[in-house]
Amino acid sequence: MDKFKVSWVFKNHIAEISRLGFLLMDLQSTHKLSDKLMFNINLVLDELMTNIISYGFPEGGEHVITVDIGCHDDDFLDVTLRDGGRPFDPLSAIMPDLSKSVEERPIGGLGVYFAKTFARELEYKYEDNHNILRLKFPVN
Amino acid sequence: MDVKVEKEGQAVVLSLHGRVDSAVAKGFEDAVLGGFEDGNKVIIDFSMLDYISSAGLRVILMAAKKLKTSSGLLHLCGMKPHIKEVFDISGFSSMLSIKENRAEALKAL
Repeated sequence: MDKFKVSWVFKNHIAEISRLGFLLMDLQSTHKLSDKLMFNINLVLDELMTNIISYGFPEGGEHVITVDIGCHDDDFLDVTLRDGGRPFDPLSAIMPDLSKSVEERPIGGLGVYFAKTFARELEYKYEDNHNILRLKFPVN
Repeated sequence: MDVKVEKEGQAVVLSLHGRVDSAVAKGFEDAVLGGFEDGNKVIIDFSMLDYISSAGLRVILMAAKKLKTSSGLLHLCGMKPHIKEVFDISGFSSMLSIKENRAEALKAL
C-alpha cells in the first residue's frame, strides 16, 4: 500500500458529514483502498463527528473539527479526530443494550459502539483545550 | 439520497438510493415515514443503498415501531454486505425481518 497522509478541516455543521463521505470516496479511488475499509472509516467518523457537532459546542458558534488519516504501514490506517469542543471522552459513553426488542429499544447510542467494533487501539486525550481521539483501522 | 415509493399489490415498497448519513437524516425520516402513511404492509428495499449510519438506522427503527403499534408488517430486503453488517452488529437484525431480496419480502407479507 502506498504511504500517504491527509488532513481535512471541517466546520461544526451537520452538512459537513456528507463532505466527509465525498472526501473518503476520493481517498479510496486515489489510493485503491477497499470498500470495506472505507465503509468502516466513514461509519465511525460519521458517528463521532455527528456527536461532536451535535453536543460538543453547547454555546454555539463556528468551530473546527480536524481529521487526519495516514498510512504508514501495510496493516493499519491511523486516524486522528480533533476538536476544540467541551471535554468529552467518547470511549466512556454507555453502550447500548442490544438485546432489547423493537418496542423497548431506545433510539440512539450506536456511534461509539461502532467505533469500538471497527477500530483498534482507540486512545483519547484532552490536551491544549482539544479533544483528541486516535484510532487505527485494520486494512484487512 | 432518494426514496422511491411504489405499490406492489397491497404492499408499499420503499426503495432507498444512494447514501444515508446524519446530514440527510431528517429528509430520510420524512420520506420514509411519509412514504407508507396509508399502508401497513411495507417493504424497504436496500439494494440501491451504498451507505447508512446510525442516523438512518434510527429512522428504520422508528418505522418498525410505528408499524408495530398499528399491527402492520415490515420487511427489509436487498442489503449489500456492509449494510447488512451494520444491522447485524447493532442488533437490529434480530429485531427486524430482513430478507434476501424483494421477491422473498413480498412472499413474506
